[in-house]
Parts: sequence; structure tokens; C-alpha cells
Amino acid sequence: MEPTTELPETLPPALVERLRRLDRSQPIVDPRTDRAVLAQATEFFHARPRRAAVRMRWALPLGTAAALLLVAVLMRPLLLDAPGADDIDGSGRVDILDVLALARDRAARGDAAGISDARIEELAYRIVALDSSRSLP
Amino acid sequence: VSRAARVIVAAFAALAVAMVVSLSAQPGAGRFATVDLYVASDMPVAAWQVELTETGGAMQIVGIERGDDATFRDPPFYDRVVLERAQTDRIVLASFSLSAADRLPRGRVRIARLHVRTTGTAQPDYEARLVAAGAADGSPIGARLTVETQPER
Repeated sequence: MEPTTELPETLPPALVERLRRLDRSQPIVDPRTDRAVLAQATEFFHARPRRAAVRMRWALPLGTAAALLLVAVLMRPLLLDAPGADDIDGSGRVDILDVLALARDRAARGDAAGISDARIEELAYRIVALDSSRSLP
Repeated sequence: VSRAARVIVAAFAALAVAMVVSLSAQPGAGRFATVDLYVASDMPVAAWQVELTETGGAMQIVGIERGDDATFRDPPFYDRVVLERAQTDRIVLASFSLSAADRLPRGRVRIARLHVRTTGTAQPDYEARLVAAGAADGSPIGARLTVETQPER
């Protein structure tokens, strides 16, 4: 027999009711004190969200600029040297076969290929140039 | 013979020697020759690229012609500055043709002729390298490159 199940049956209802009232949580802090603490806390922390907002306002442009700078640095060799731009046949080097590939593409598709005669000649003269940095005719 | 006559003869002799030395040192002096480039391939050649060097460094290119096949460009592509230089030791030539495979040259064919002028006493030493050769479909092909030189008259 468990004493806990036996207790309500043995105690008088009035006592049980009084014990239940005592068992309820009683406010240990006065509501005015509670409101004062809340007001001070609100005042104290009021500035924090604004500082965070200020940081966030700069964080987005700075992060974007840093990302763009990183991309530019990483892509610089590809953009400046661009070996793949003239490696038409994908052989890994640029030679007369790339010029032939360009010319064949233009001959097959015409203007739809988007390849001009000047582009073909420019690449041809570039591969025979003794000094690649010099401008070509 | 008087002393004055001997002086005159000596002066003429010195003048003659000076003229001979001057003529031999003129920039126009030199030997002209043709340098023919040949490619040999079992497959029809639609494109080629050659690098020619003259190890002596005393070569002046005065003219460039295409080879025997009329379907190729005349002259082939080359760096035009080379012709403006008094001397050069290297040139790159290249050309292509869009003709059908049955019209392209195969076997041994002359792809280019260079007219060169060399100076100095040393014989020119040409070295040629086939950088690339391609078939009509654009695929690379194996080919052999040879150089033949002949003096021009």
C-alpha cells in the first residue's frame, strides 16, 4: 500500500484545500520591482541591437567586396592569359590547328558561327609572332 | 723613275687596296639562297606550322613564297617584322587550306620557299621543326619535315 495514494482519503478536505493553497507558488518579488528591473534591462540593452545593426550594415558591402577581390585574384591568370580562349581544338596548346578549326567552323556555319575573318587572321598572326607581346598587323 | 712618280704609284696602290677592303665590307655583300621546306605525309595536309632557325644568326630573309600547292595561302603567315630586320635567327611560318581532302597535297610536297641572304664566311646552318600538321578534319597528323637550300644565281 502506498502512502501517497492513501493520503487524500485520510485527510479532511479542508486540510487538503489549505495545503493546496500553500503549495501554489507565491510571488517572492514585488511586481513593481519586477517592472523596474525590466525597465533597466531594456534601457541597458537598448543600444546593443543598434550596434549590431551598424556592424551588419558594413558587413554586407565589405563581405561582397572581399568575395569579389578573392574571385578576381583567383581568376586573374585565366582572364589575363586566357590560354583556353584560343585553344579552339582543346589540344592544350595554340597552333595552326586552332586557326584551321576556327576557319572550318566559319566555313560550315557562316555568320552564325560568330567568327570573323579578322579573328582568324589575328590568331594566325599571333601564333607566328616572334614576340607575342608586340601588336600584330 | 723619279721620286714623284714612285709616290704617285704608291698612292694609287694604297687607294686600290682601300677600295677592295671597302667593297668586301659593304653591307650589300653576301650570298643569296633559297630555303625550301618540304613536308612528307601519307595523309592529305590541310595545315602546317614550321619554326626555322639559323644557328649562325647571320640570316636575312628577303622574301617568302608559298609552296607548290595552290590551295594554300600565298605567302604563308609569318611575322612581318622579320623582313624588316637586318638579321634574324628564327622565323615561324604557318598556313592552312579549307580545300577538300582529295584536293589537298599528300606525299612529299614543298610547303614554302624562303629567299635569304647570308653574310660572313660561315655556312648557314638551318634547323627546322614541324610544330604542327593537321588533316582536313582538323585532327593532328604525323609528318616529316625536310629543308633544302640552293644558292641563287
